[in-house]
Amino acid sequence: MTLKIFHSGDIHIGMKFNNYPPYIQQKLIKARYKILDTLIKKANKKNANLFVISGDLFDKHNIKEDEIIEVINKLKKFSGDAILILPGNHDFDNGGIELWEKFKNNMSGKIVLLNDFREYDLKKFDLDVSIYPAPCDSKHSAENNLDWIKNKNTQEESPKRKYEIGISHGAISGLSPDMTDSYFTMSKDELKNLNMDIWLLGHTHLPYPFEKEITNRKIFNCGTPEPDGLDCDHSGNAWFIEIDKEKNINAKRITTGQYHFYDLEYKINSKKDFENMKNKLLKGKVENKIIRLKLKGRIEENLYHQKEKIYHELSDKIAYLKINDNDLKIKITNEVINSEFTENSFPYKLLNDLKDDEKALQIAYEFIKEVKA
Amino acid sequence: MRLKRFQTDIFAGIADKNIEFSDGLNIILGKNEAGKSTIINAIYATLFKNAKIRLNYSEDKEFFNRYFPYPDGDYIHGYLEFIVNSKNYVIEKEWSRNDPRQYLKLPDGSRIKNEEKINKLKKDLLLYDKGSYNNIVFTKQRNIKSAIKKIIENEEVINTVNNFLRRAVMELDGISIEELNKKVDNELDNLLKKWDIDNNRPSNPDRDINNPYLKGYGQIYEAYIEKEKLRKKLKRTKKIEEDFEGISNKLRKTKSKNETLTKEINKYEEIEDDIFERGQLEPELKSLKERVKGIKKINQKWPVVKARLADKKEKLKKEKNRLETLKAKKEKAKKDQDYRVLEKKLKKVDKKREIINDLKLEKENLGDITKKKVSELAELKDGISKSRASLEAAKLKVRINFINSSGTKITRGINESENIKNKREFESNGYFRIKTDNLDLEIESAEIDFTKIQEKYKNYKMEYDKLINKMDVKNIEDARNKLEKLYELKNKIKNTEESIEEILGDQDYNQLLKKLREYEFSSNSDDLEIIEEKINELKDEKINELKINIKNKEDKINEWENEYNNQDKLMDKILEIRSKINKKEEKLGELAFLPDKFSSPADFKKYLSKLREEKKSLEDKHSKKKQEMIKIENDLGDNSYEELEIMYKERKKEFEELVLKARKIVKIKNKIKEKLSKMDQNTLKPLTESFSDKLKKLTAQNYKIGKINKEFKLKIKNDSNKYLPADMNYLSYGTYDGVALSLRVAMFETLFNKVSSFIVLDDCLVNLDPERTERAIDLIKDLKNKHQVIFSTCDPNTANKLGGNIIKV
Repeated sequence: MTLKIFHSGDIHIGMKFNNYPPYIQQKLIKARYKILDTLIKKANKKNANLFVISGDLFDKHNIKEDEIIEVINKLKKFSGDAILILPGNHDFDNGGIELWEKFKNNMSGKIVLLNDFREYDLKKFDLDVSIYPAPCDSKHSAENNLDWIKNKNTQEESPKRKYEIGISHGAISGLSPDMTDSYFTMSKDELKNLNMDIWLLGHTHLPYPFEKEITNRKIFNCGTPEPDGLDCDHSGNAWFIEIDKEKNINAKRITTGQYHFYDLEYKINSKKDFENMKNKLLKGKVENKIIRLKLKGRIEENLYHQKEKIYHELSDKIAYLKINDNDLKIKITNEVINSEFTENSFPYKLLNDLKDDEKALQIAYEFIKEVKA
Repeated sequence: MRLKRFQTDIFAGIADKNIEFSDGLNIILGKNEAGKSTIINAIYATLFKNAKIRLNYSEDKEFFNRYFPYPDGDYIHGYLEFIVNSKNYVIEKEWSRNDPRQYLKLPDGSRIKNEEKINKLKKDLLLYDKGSYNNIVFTKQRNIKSAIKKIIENEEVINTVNNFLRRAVMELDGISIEELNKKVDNELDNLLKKWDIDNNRPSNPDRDINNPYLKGYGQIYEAYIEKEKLRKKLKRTKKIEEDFEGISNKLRKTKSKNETLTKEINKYEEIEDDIFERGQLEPELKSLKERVKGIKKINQKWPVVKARLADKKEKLKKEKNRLETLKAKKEKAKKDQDYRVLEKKLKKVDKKREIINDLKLEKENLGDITKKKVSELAELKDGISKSRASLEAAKLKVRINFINSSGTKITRGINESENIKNKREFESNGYFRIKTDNLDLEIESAEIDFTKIQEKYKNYKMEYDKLINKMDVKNIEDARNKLEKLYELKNKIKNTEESIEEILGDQDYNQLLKKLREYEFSSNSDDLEIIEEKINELKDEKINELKINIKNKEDKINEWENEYNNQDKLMDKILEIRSKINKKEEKLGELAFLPDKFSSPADFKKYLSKLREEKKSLEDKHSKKKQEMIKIENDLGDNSYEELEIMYKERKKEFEELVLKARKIVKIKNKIKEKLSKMDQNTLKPLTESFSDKLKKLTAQNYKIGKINKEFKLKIKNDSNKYLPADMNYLSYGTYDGVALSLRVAMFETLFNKVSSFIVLDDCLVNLDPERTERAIDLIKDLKNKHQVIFSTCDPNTANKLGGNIIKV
C-alpha cells in the first residue's frame, strides 16, 4: 500500500492585518479561512490518506469558538483517513490552553490532536502508521521538543507500525531565519538520526526542499499555503507526498494561495523605467497582488509631476499597493539650476548651497518652484 | 508697458476726448484747470478702478463725487489701449452704480469681462500692483511730499518696494521671499507643532504618550504618539503573551495534579464502602470478644465476692456492738462532769456565805450609829461653835495694876476661875470676874447677853458630850467615819448576796445540795474526749469502710444478678455471644482488605477525605486560574506580538522620516536667512547708486550721496560730507524737488530696469532754478530713451524745452 500524505501548516487563522486599509484587510483575513477549503479539496482530489498540519493552524490563542468550529467544519470535509493537527509556536499547547480544549470538544473522530509527547498509533484508522510528534508547548524555546523521541530510540523497541512519521514545528538551523534561536530550532542531522521514515515540519513560511518534485528525501517543510505578509514574497505551497511499500518517497510541491505579496524596489530614472515597472506590476493576477513598492531614482521634473497619475493607474488595478517614493526625486543637476534660475539670483545661490544635502536640496527646490508658480 | 491711446466719452469735466500717445516723451500741455490732471486720473482709474461703484465704500464715494457729472450723469467712461511686449491690449470701463461694464481685450481679440480674471491678467501685464503705480508711476509733484512720506512711512509700500527691489535688484527670479518664508514656516509649523526638534521630544515633556495633546499638534508629534502607542501596546502584548503562557502552564500543572489525585481517589473509592463496613465490624467484633472475656471473669469472681460479703457483714456487726458500749461510756462520763460542776458551785456559795457573816459582825461592832444621830451631833457642835463665836466678838482686855491678895481668883468668860500668879494682863470673852478675898468683881460686855450665851453654850456642850458618849465616838469626825464604814459594809453584804443568787439562779441551794449528796460518781472512767475520739475512729474508719465495701459487693452481685440472673444463665450468655462473633467474622472475611499503608479504616477514611479536600481546593485553584486565563485571553488583543512589531517598525520609520524632513527644512530656513542677510547688504545698492547719480546730476554735485538704509530712511550727504536729515522741511524747495525727482526716477528705473514702462510726471520742474531745470530736463530726456514719459505742464516753455509729442488740452 502506498501512503499518501497531504502536508500543510502555518495557516495562521486569526491574523488581523491591521496595517492594511479595511477593504483589503477583510479580504486577507478571509483568505486564511478560504485556503483551508482549497487545501482539503486538493487533498481529496489526490485521495490523500493523511492530512497533516504541522503547526500554527491558528495565529494566536484567542480565537472565538465559532471560528474554531468553522475551521473544524472545513477540516471535516477531508475524505481521507485522518487529519493530524500539531500545535505550533503560535498556537502552542501546554495542556492548559482553552483554544485546544474547545478544539477537542468540537473535533470529530477523524481529527487527531498531536499535543502529547508520545507515539500516536493510527491503527484505529486502518493505517499501519505511527506518529511521533514534537508539538510546541510555548511560544519561544531555545530547545526543541525532540528529546522524548531520542529517549525512546535508545530503548530500542522494535517498531510497532510499518511507517514511522515524525511531525515537528520549529526553525531548521541553516534554513530558517531565526536570529534569536528561540523557535525550537532543530538541525537536519538531528532529525535524520531519529530514524523516522519521514519528517513533516512547519514554521518557516518557505517550503523545503526547494524543488518542485523530489524523490527519496526525508525532511519536508510545508511553508505557508497562503502568504501572510511582505516578508513572504512567494506563492503559497503545500506538499503531496507518497510513500510506497518499499518506503520510497515521492513528493510534489503544490502551489496554493490567493494572495501574493511583493516587496519590490525599483530604480526609476526615466519614463521608460516607469513603463517597464508598470508592465511588470500589471502582469498576472493583479487582483491578488499585495505590493509594497519602494521607488528610488532621479527623474525630470515633468515626469516627476506625472508620477501620481502612474500610481493611480496601478492602484486601480492592483489589490493593494503601498508606495514609498521618498527616494524618488526630481533630478536637480547643475544644468537644471542653471537653466531655471538666473546666475547669482537668490534661488540659484540657495540651491547651490544645498547641493551637498540632497534631501534638503529636493525640499528647497520644491518650495521654490511652488512659490515661483 | 506703454500707453497707446486713451479715449473717454465722459469722465468728470471732460467728454469725447481721444488722446494718442507716442513712445518716448509726451507732453500734456494746457492751462490750469484745463483737465490735465483729469486725463491722468482717468487713465489711472481705467487701469485700476473697478467698474462697479458702491457708495458705502468711502473710496468709491469720493471717486463718485469727484468724477461723476453733476447732477444726473450715472456713468463715466474710459478706454485705454496699451502695449506689452509689442502686443496690443485694450481695457475699457463704464463705471456705474447699477450697470457697470468692463472688459480686457487681449492681443488675439478675445475679451474678458470677469473682474477677477481681468485683475489677474492685469497683474501679469503691469508687473506691479496698484499701490506701486499710484506711488511711483502716477504720483504728482504736488503730492510728492505725501508720496515720499508714504514710501518712507507706509510699510506696505516699503514691502512692495523691498519686494520689487529684491525681484529686480537681487534677481529673485520672480520668487517672493515672503511667500517662501511663509511656505517654510507653514511646513515647519505643520511638522513641529508641540515638538522640540533640538531635543527630539515633545516640547512639553509632560505631554508624552501618557498625557498626549488631543489637538493643535504637528505631524511629528502625531507620528511620535502613534509610534509610542504601538510601542506601549507591543510591550503590553509581550507581557500578556508571557502571562498567557505562564498561566496556561500553571493550568496544565493543576490539571495533571488533579488527574493523579482523581485516579487515587477513584482507586480508594472502590473499596471505600468495604472499608467503612470493616471499620464498623472490627470494633464490634472486638467488643464482643472483650465481652466474652468479661463474662468469664465474672463467672470466676461471683462466688468469691459472695463469700467476702458475708465476712464483711459479720465484721460490721462486731464493730457496731463496740460502738454501742463506747456510746454508753460516753453518756456516764458526761453526767459525772455535770455533777462536778454542781459540786464546785455549791462550794463557792458556802464561801460567800461565810464572808457575809463576817461583814455583818463588823457592822454590829460599829455601834449605834445612824445618819440621823450624826446630823444631830453636827448640829450641836455647830451650836457650841456659834456660842463661842458670840463671846469672842465681845472681847475684853483686863489689866490688873495692883492686887494685894495672894488668893485672888479670876474667871475669864466661860472658863473656870483660875488663880492669878504673876500675870497682870488678860484677855477675856464677854465676862471677867475677879475675886479676891475682898473683892468680887464681875465685868460683862454690854454688847452681849453673856449669861444667856453662857447658858446656851453650856447646854450645847452638855448635849454634845452626852451624844458622844451614847454613840461611843470620839468626836464628830469619828462618827462620820463610822457612818461611812457602815454604808460600805452594807454594800458589800448586798453584793455578795447578789453573787450567790447569780450562782444558784432559780435553784434552791438545799435541793441542789441534796441532789449532789445523793449522786454517785463512777469510780474509774475514761476522759470524755478520748471516748469521743474512739467513737469517731470506729465510725469513720472501720464501720464506714466496711459499709462501703459491703455496698460495693452487694452492688456487684446485684448487677450480675440483674444481668445474668444467676451463674448458669451466665454461661448461656457466653454461648450466645460466641455465635454472634462467628457470624461477624464470616462477614468480615468477605470485605476488601485495608491497604497496607493504612493502620486502620479510620486512617483510610481520614486519608480519603484529605484527598477529596485536596481535589476540591485544587479544582478551586484551577477554576480561579482558568478565570484569570480567560481575562488574559481577553486581553490578548487582535494582533499577535509579531504583527504589532511589523506595524511598530513602519510607524517608527514614518516618524524618523518626518523628523529628518523637519531637520532639512530647518536647515533650508537657516540657509534662506543666511543668504538673504548676505544679499540684503547689496539689495539697495543699485537704488542708492542710481539715486546718488541722479541727485548729483540734479544738484550739480552739491549733494553727492543719497543713502537709503534698510528701514528705507533717506540720508542725504552734502559736500561737507554731512548727512542732512531726510525731513523735507529742512530742504529748500529746490533741493527737495530735486531729491524727490531723483529718488522717484531712481526707484522707477530700479523697478523697471529690465522692461520698458511709462511714468507720469506732472510739472516737477516749477521750483527748480534754471540751472537745475536744465539738468532735470536732461534727466527726463535720459529717461524717455528707455521709457515712455508723460509729462504735464501748463508752461509752453517747459514743453518746448522738453520737446516730444505735445498733447494740447
